[in-house]
Amino acid sequence: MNCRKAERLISRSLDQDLKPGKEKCLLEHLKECSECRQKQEEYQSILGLLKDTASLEPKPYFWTRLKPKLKREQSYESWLIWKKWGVRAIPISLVLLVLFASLVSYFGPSEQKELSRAEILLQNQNPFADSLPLLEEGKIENENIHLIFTSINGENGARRYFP
Amino acid sequence: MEEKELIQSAQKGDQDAFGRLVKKYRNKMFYLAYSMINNRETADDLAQEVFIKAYRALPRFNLKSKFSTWLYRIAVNTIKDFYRKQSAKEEVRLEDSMKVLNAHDFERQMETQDKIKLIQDHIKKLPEKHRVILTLRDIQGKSYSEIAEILKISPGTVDSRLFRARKKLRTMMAPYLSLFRREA
Repeated sequence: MNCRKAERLISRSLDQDLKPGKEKCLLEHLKECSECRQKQEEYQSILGLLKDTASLEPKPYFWTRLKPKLKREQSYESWLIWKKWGVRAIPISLVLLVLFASLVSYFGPSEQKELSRAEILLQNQNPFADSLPLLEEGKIENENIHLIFTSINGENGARRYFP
Repeated sequence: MEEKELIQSAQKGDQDAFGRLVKKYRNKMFYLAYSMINNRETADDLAQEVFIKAYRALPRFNLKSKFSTWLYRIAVNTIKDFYRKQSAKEEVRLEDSMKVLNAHDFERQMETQDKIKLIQDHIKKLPEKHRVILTLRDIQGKSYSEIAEILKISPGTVDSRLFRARKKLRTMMAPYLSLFRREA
């Protein structure tokens, strides 16, 4: 075993038991190598010092000082949640508004279009009855149109022309 | 109350339960920070920051994992972030620590606290990853498997990194170790 491998095993031996074969090789090497024996003492010395360094504690009232910071953290978290959902609510609201407006315009009552006199006449199957107000006006052009579109022979005044 | 019950209560918003967890781990978190930063005030602030981060992340903590491992991971990352910001301001070179100082300066008998201060000063000069692993293993006594879980490395890497860290520290401390031996 060379010193490089021995040093590696010395370090490992500080943490755990070595396998019997390796332990034996290391012990044999340490019997013969004073330099490695010195290294082993130095490693043990350093390890002892390192364990002593764990005696320090934080400043007093650690939890008392931490509590107000956690309360601020809770308020900050509530604000973050509001901000997160508030930002999302704007586009969602717009979408809902557009959807609602679309539904209302699609399913809502249709506007009654004001029809012209001519359109009323054309729609109606009995223009004679509906055109009576026009005839009562006495205008010659109305009487002529009336003749074209209706049969004066029939009592019902059935329509003769369909667009 | 068992730790698992404390964690469950804390996750539901019980601050007293969280307080008990803080009391259990505050010294370890503080010392982990102190061993890296070597300043009591800063280490205290960092330890507080670790618990604030833990409080924030606690609702997402999976009870199947080990709480101490999870907390150590937060602590290591917090301290590393702080250390990186600090290192950008200071230039610390390993070579400076290797200078052999005048033996006369050290002929006086060193008290234990002096030795501790000496070793802490040298730990501070190690690269960050060596400092972390020395602290977790040789100061805090974490097992190889725990360290592997905290640092997300393999146990083999823990072994090799720990060896290199110890070797480097021994090399740096070599001029002073003879004094320790003389006293013994």
